Amino acid sequence: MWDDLRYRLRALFRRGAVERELEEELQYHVEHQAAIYHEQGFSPEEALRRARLAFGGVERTKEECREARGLSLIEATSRDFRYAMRQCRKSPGFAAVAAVTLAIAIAANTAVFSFVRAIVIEKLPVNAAGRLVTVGQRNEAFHIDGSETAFSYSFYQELRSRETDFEDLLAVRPEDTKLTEGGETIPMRLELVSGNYFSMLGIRPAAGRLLDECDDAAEGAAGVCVISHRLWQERFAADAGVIGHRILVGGVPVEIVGVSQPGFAGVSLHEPREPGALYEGRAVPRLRARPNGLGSPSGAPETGSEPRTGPYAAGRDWQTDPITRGPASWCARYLPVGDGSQGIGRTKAQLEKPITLLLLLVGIVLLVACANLSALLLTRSLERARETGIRLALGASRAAVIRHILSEGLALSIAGGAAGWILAQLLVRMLLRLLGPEGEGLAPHVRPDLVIFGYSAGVTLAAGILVSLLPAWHSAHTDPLPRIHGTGTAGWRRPLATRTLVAAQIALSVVLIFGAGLFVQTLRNLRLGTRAFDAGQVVLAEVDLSDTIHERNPEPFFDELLRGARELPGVRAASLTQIRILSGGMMSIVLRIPGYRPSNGMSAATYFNTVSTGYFGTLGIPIVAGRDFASSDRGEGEGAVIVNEQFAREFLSNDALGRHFSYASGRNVHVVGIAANARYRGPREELQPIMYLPVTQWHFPRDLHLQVRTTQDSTAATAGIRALINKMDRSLPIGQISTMEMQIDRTLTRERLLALLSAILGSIATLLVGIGVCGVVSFSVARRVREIGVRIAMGSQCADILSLFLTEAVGTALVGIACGIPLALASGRLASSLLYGLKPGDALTAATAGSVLVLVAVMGALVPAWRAARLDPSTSLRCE
Amino acid sequence: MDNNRIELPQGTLDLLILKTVALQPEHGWAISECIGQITGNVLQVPQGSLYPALYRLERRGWIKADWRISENSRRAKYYELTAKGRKQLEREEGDWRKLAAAVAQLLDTNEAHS
Repeated sequence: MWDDLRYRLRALFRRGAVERELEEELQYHVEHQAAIYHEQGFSPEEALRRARLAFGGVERTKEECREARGLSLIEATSRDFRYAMRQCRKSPGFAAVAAVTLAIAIAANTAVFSFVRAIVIEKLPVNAAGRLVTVGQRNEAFHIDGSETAFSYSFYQELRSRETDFEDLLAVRPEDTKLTEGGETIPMRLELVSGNYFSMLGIRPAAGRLLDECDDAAEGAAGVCVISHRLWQERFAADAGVIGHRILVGGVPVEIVGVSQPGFAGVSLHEPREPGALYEGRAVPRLRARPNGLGSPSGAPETGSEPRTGPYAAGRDWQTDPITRGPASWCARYLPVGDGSQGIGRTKAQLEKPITLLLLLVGIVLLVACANLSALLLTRSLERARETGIRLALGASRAAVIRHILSEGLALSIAGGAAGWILAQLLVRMLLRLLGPEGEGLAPHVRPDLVIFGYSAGVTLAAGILVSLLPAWHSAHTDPLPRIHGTGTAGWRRPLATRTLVAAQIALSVVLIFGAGLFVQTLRNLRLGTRAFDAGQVVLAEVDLSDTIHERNPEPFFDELLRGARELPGVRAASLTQIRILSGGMMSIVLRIPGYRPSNGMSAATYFNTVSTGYFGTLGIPIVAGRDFASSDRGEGEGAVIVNEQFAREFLSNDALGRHFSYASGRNVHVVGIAANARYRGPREELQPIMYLPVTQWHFPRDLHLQVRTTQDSTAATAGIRALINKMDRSLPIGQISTMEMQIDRTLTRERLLALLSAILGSIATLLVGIGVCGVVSFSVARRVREIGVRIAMGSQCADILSLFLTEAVGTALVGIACGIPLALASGRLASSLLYGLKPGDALTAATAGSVLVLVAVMGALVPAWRAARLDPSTSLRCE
Repeated sequence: MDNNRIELPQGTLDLLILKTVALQPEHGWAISECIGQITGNVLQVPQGSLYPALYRLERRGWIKADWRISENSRRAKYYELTAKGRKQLEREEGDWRKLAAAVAQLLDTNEAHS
């Protein structure tokens, strides 16, 4: 064993010496033999010739000796790669196309895998994250469209005190607030947590102490909080003296008691927060969890509902063991348990499906790229057939020929992989930007590291092997002799092989183009479905009067704002609203309707919104019966409401106008108008009952959105609104101003992501199909130069030659499409839940995908076919 | 050429080389010459496969090589048996003898019955 290693090492490191020795030894043998022949009477030249003849192929023997002495892997590889480099230099164009193609495919795979890992695989950095579950509440009184709502702190306490199958339960409520410290105010994301939060998650303090159950009991005491390690380092310069320091959180003084361990930033994996606990002088901590949808004014309205909280629990294996011994039988039904390995963040639920689908798509693109390059390599090996033949005849083993082609494929893929690694980082950045706000939270999780690098390297190697497998096999398994003569018949199987590869490539491309078609149409359908506004556009601006001088009496300010907005140039209508529709936000409330008998035994609930006059006009929602709100709809008595058609149908048996009912804790209202149905939370939702309340009715809201419908472009309109607010109160901070379109796009992040990326991937595949067909037809033309010459000489027209090759290309394309369409329809089913407004087996899309590919095949074939048609018969006939 | 020359049976080349260098250290040409002479030219080592076999045996540590001055006063690579090689030779020799005896016995038996 040791001898063997030493021997090999010497062969590796003293390669020159070992080679010289081999040379000298064989030389000695031949010369010794020649000397003997010379003694037998031959002339010195004849003696040497005979000696050489007797010895046989010196080079072959040398090669066998090298193998026998155990050619080191590194030596063999470096030799093969030097050969591969020489081949690449010989045709730099091909090498460049191949490397760029692979770079794009590998980059796409690397980038998408980074996201798959962050979104699907990664877990919270806490103790036994795999065993965490989220517990929501499916309370039919509050839930409208299947989303879970949070529940009250007292409910959490009750649940925790009972015998359940959960080891422990913790409560958490994420909140966006402001941190004031050292005269500076910054926005901060915070979690209000129960005392057992840190102990249950197994988090250790980096300084000071963490919160414990005693903090739960200290009701009415001064607020305490724990800050994250990152905040500690960034804002407090990791100063240990920060413990005991007081900061203002949302205007409330809170004492910092500790710093959590590095890397921990709350229980939303992709939304880092500072865990803290805030207590007010009330009996129950005002805790609430799981905002309903992103950026919504979470949960049920303040009116009458109890303060609510969302327990967040560690149980046993949540998939196989839901609550079986819950506090009551309704537990399992009304406390849906979800995967908590990433905490309460919703990124996984939202993006898991699209991102895994994208991984599938980029995988297909990689396969297409490999099939494409494989076909090109195969056709190129025709040009090298002679060389390969000579090498085989000279004694190169088949294994050596295979190794050479394999190393050429690997050299190409490694060049592509290296470029792809850099390109992947750009792609990751692009994807983050596409994801918008969700991308911000994901950014730290998609950074390149060893795992990502390993994946990328693996993909690169796999691609290299895939690319060269078929060409290598073919090169090694054909008879060398006809190749040396250049009679070409030896490669009869190769046209079939290349065409099969191109057909496979087309089949896979059908899937990609079909998928792209589905996602692009879904996006278009969703956008069309939400476009209730015929002309012009709606611009929205948030105006929050909390913590300002207008706080106590916001109405005059908003009145003036509305008046001012209506006078802005280009503005056709303006109004105020509490909920921005189609932004994902919502408010819902329980109703008490005389004569209404709910089918499920739960009381009726509806979405609602508080709006000013002109709301319906601004959004272009027609009032189908009754009247719009008027500024006279105010006062303490029975209020006026407008309901939508769905509300009227569901709760008031289509006879809504003038009906009386009450909501929440007993406010009496009557219906003054019926509005047409419009979507409320998002473009995908089913029609839901909606109730509209006038802003003027009881308690004028402090935080409203101004929405104007304007004929101006969005920049001018935005500037106008900004100037108007500044003129009214210079000190008022202006939140984000956006158009309704931008806002809808934000709720369509998934769909936009899929539509854009699948379209890009589909285009890449289409381009590759073009290159592939061009390559295979060029090959066919090269092989049949003589035949074409004969045809032209016999009087074939340009069109005949063209159609000869175009038919071939279209035939290949049709075979590919025939195989691809069933594949596409099957994979469309995988995406069915992501589609909108069309079926996963949409025939028109499939037909379009097929036609596009036939067209591309024709275009790809046209260039070489045209060259063939223009051949000069006198030269082509003489061609060898 | 000699008609009584026979093809070298598979796997016997190693044994022949080991035995030859066991007699005295030799260089490649001499090894093949020696095998031919001793067997009365019945066994001829194909020169192309001699050297790969030498390299293989050297790698296994059964023979070792060094450069010496040959009889015609030139530098030549001489192979000699190592201790490990000697054990291997004994083992292979034993195996071969057993095989030859068994084959002979079988052939004799056939002769008797036919």
